[in-house]
Amino acid sequence: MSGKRLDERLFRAWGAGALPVFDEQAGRARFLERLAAGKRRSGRGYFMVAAAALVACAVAIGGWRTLSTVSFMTAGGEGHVGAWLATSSANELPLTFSEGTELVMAPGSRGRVEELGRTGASFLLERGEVRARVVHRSNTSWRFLAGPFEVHVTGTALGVDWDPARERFAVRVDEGSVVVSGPNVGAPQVVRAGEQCVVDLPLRTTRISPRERGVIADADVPLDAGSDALAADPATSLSPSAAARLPGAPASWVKLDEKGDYDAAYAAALGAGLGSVLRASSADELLRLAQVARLSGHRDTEREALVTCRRRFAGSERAAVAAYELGRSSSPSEASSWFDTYLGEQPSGALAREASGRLVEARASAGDDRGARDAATRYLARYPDGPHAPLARRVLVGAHE
Amino acid sequence: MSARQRKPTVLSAAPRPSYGVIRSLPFEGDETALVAAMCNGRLDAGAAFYDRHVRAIHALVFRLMGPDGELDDVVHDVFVRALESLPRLREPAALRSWLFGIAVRTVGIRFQKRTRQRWLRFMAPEEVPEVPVLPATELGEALRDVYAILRGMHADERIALVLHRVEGLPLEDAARATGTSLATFRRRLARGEAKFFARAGGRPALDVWLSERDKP
Repeated sequence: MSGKRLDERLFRAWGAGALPVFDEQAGRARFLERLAAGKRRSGRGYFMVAAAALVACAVAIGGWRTLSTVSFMTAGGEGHVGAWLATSSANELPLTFSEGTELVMAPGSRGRVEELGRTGASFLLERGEVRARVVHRSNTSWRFLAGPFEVHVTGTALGVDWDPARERFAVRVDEGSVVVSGPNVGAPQVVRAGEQCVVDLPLRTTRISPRERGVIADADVPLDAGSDALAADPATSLSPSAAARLPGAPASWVKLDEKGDYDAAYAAALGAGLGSVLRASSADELLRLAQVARLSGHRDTEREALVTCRRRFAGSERAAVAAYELGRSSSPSEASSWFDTYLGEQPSGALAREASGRLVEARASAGDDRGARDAATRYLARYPDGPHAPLARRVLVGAHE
Repeated sequence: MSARQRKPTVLSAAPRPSYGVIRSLPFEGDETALVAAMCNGRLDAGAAFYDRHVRAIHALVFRLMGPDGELDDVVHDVFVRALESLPRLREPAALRSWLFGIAVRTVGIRFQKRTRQRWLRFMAPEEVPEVPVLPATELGEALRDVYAILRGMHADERIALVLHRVEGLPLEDAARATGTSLATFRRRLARGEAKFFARAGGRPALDVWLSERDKP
């Protein structure tokens, strides 16, 4: 080192220096989502050996049904992945799945079967209520997605409510147990038979409490799903997403993403034709594709997926999430406008607090001192104890970074 | 709907009292119990695993990468990789140092990927998204220069410098975290220090941090 030594003071100060804002709660939820998915996949080595043996046996005895994906029927015939399902204000819509599970969409509800697997399925509830009796087997894997919430089920009777307008979520369990994750829930919560979990995002309250058996409606949190019920009859038309692939088959890149192999997932999306993937994917898939692109280091594609999501699903909650993600991946000056966009479209959305904080950060970084102070004032008024509160206070006293 | 299956629960509008219970399910147990519970897929153990280590990992990743728009993603990636490797962990009691090793490798892979992409796509270093989080203080100014220097260094040398000099890991532990022999780590560290110091010269913000005896 030519006789020179680095001054230890610098390294000590470096090691003890302040860290950037980090949303631990969001990070934990993201990690636990992956953990829950891994649990479903049973990815451990000895399970893989057992699974291989099971596959061999199944093939040997002609048990092809074990290997086939679940299918489902609606009142209008065979159902398809990705097809939007809607009920009028007076009618219910029963869905019957080949592995024995029954779902009933209550009047005034909208949703879709998002994914079919060999041991279960994912149902996305856009709004309203769905009641289900999931058949329990050793490897049952069912998910209910409602807004930002996710309910993992291995066999139970339950009801899920989601009111996107009021941002109120409820799950009520009659039999078995489920695991609920999502904003304001903290660590994933186990809800057992005879209990209900009600989350009110605007009020930031989460309650798990006993419920009377057989009672679905909650006097404390009325979910008026039927008040603006759809006039349409049950819809069974295929979405572009479903039309672009074989019925019941999730896109291969999605499967690779679930395994955490982002490079391979990105390559698979490219192999399928990026243009057609962008045209055919659902809003959630586009957000997922953007994440795959980001984690595999392809920021141009990330941006393209997010912009496509905003264009194709303009006005939806997912389009607003795309705006938020665009803000995260943009330069500070551009980021400000994207966070503004999110807050304009979802002022009380699940990401409103984070978007408000990042708006402060972006404006301050872009040298927009006045805008940063405005954003900081608004942030502190609404989230005085939020993760960006220290930064907002520094901005207001003119000592921000 | 098939006849053999039961009807779903019947709706009722009957009111019920609210008990207002907020439940959390903390995991209690040492690192060995934690690893065993996670291998069994327990989500509460996963939450505890994350809560116990995320701050240290976030700090390590930040010091290795500096202000960076992908910081959150890299931290997430560390935990996902840990999750996938957990069944192969031989010493659950050494969970923290094992996780450090994963963090170092994850950051190293990210550096290598960026290097490849810059070369292939002619992306200038300044195009890599950066989140300015360094305060406008004497130290903040110095760290801006520090990270500017680090960006121009080889990933292995940069990692060695941060692990030993900033994180304070003993040479043996740092070598283990990088998956190299002690001799290899020493060579990388020496090269890293030499380059760093050579490039620190002439930067006023760093001058004040160099002791009188260090100056030429």
